[in-house]
Amino acid sequence: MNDMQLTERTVGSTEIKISARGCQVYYGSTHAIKDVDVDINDKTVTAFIGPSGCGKSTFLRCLNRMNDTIDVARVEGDIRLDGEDIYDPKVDVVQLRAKVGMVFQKPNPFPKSIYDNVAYGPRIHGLASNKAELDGIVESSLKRAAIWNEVKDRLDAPGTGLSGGQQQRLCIARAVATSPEVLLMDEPCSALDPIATAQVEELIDELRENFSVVIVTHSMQQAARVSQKTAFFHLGNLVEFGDTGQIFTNPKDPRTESYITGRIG
Amino acid sequence: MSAIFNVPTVLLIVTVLAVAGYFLGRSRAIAASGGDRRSLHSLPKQHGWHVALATFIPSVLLLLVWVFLSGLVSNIYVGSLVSDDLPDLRLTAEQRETLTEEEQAIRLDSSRRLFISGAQTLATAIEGYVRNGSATEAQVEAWRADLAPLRERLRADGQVVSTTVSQGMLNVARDLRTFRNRMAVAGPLIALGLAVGGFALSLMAINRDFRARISVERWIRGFLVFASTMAILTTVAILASITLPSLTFFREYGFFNFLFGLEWAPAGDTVGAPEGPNGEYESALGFLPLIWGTLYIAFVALLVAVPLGLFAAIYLSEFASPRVRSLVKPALEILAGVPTIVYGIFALVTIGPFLQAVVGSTIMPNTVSVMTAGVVMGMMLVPFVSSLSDDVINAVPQAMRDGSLGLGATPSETVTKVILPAALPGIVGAIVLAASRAIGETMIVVLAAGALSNVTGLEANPFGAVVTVTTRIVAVLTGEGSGFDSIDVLAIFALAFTLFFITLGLNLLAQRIVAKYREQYE
Ligand SMILES: Nc1ncnc2c1ncn2[C@@H]1O[C@H](COP(=O)(O)OP(=O)(O)OP(=O)(O)O)[C@@H](O)[C@H]1O
Ligand SMILES: [Mg+2]
Repeated sequence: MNDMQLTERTVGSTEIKISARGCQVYYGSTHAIKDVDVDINDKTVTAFIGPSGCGKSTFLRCLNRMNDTIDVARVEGDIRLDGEDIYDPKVDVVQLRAKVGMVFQKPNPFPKSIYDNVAYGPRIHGLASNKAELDGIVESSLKRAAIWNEVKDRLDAPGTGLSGGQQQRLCIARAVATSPEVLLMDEPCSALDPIATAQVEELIDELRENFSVVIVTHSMQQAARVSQKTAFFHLGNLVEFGDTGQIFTNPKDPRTESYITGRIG
Repeated sequence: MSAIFNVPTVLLIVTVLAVAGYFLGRSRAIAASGGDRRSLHSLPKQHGWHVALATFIPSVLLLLVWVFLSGLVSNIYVGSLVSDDLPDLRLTAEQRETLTEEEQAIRLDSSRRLFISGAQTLATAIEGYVRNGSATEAQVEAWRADLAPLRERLRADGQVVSTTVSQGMLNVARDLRTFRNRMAVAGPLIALGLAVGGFALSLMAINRDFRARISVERWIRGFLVFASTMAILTTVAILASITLPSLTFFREYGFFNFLFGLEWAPAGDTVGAPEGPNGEYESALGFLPLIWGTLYIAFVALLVAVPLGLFAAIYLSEFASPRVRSLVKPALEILAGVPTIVYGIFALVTIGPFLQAVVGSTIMPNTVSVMTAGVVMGMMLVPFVSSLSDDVINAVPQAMRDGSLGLGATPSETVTKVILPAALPGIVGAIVLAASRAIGETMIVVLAAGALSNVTGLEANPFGAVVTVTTRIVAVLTGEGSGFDSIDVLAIFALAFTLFFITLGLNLLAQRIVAKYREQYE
């Protein structure tokens, strides 16, 4: 564990942004998430780690109700954003998703220009009152996602024509552009080189000052570097959840220890 | 003799032989294995198949080709029988003096054509007459003089004889008939020989090491190649059958006179013999009024079908619950299966009177009109447009929807801003295909668009009756009277020919658009 440089940052806030209690997810008859309780603090980076197929993405999608789009998926339990039940029938899903943004595991740029991809959210939410303002939002979002320099000369080129890693950053820029209160990032660096990864991590750190970020990652080092809280999932169960420092140096559950030392996965 | 060697009988014999070959081949293979089946290279079943296919395929292919080609060959044959100095073809002295050389050539060519088609019909008539038992071969041989009574006799027997019959024509027809009968016997005879040969050779080839499995694969592959070639050949054949008469028509009437003519008024002129005072055709055969009617109706139909079909597709693929979808989709598909004649009746008895009641009979003098046909054709196209659009909308990856919804877009924002732009090329393709169907559609317009036989100019009133390309084709080809020597009938081929190219062009366009669209997500 010596290669893991734990950041000795204090948790920014202890105010709870999202709380999940007794969350269950079923895909048809498959029980994918089993009774998970998690609190996501405001102004904090929370990392979800765990072996492939353990339900990290599934749980992440519960937090902005993206599982609604899957016909066979059924979510049970109590998930609250700022104390409000997000699965309440009265809740406006559109507003919820504007507040809880998401970067998907597979990059999914729209078949539109790079500019239009990033401007998509601000346009539908009316965040810019004129073209110059919109230009400003697009530029700053692309800069924050560390892709500005690569695309500034071809903002009119289609987003689908970028490389895999560039598409991933474009999707990050797209999500950042709507200034969500919570940003859910599903393996945002899986296709990035070390330099772009470092830049995205910097972005995450910067976002933490105002928002809360949840990041799914397969890199223990990354979890250790960017997060203050870590949740370890295994076979649909939340095995252990606590301060990142504690999880990586002193895990309570033997399964957590085996996973972070590379023995199960 | 000729009774046995006709196509159906030979097909039956070959089939029986092939089935027998399967069982014989199998048992021979088992016998060759000497009890140890593993010593065979191929399974006994495969040996059986090899014999069956070797018996069946070559002989059936030959039969097919023979049936297709014998018409062509006898055409060539009859052409060689008719020499230019036949008394029937000779120009009159007066014609030779008054006409230019070029005109003489055209005259000669078209009277030759007429003579040949007359001889062909006559040969068919004589054959039918003999088949009916109304005359013996010897009697036919003896036919010489009294040609006019001959024609009446054939007609009375129910045979078709169009032109007057001359002695020269009778001679040619008799020769042609003999030739045709020989062809009709020779083909099946050769096919039978092939079958027996294949049967015997493949049975003898069976031994332990014979690679029947590989041969069977080869037979099957060959057959598949043949089947797909046939599909293409059919298109070629269709095109060929309408191209020649169309070209004759264009040469006779003038391509541009046809294409830009503003009047359609057939007068029954004979090909090659214009009846107008200045040697031009009295029949006015302009394409414009007909294609105008066709396009006008197609336009109205698309105006109805595209919004309805597209919205239905969007609703079904993006908004409907699985339950609604499972009810509505089959319902739409049933709508697509309704025969167009039923739509035509609906247009004629329901929509037409309804429209007339709404707009009044000053604007809409008849119940048949552009709107009547167009609206109903639009309804017919709704399921077509919706199912094609549904396909392209469903081809937009779910990740696009997730991306948009995940940014806080509403479902309708997602549809208008992401899904429709992404699916647009495919939807345009669907619309073009629908347009091509609307243009070629026949039954609805025959019943609901109007049945004028003469039109001048372009009808602008959407509630007025029009004439379309397809209605004219139906009317002339199913109508009484004019034979294929009439310029009006030739014009019909030109109509079909032009229609073919218009729809072909539209389909190619649609295909290109759709193909371009496919590349987007690959
Ligand atoms: N759309 C779906 N339909 C049915 N089952 C699903 C669906 N999506 C996920 N699952 C199942 O739910 C379980 C959890 O999947 P999930 O995608 O959440 O895993 P994950 O932890 O994100 O894995 P990875 O690290 O590979 O992305 C898996 O067993 C998977 O098979
Ligand atoms: Mg995942």
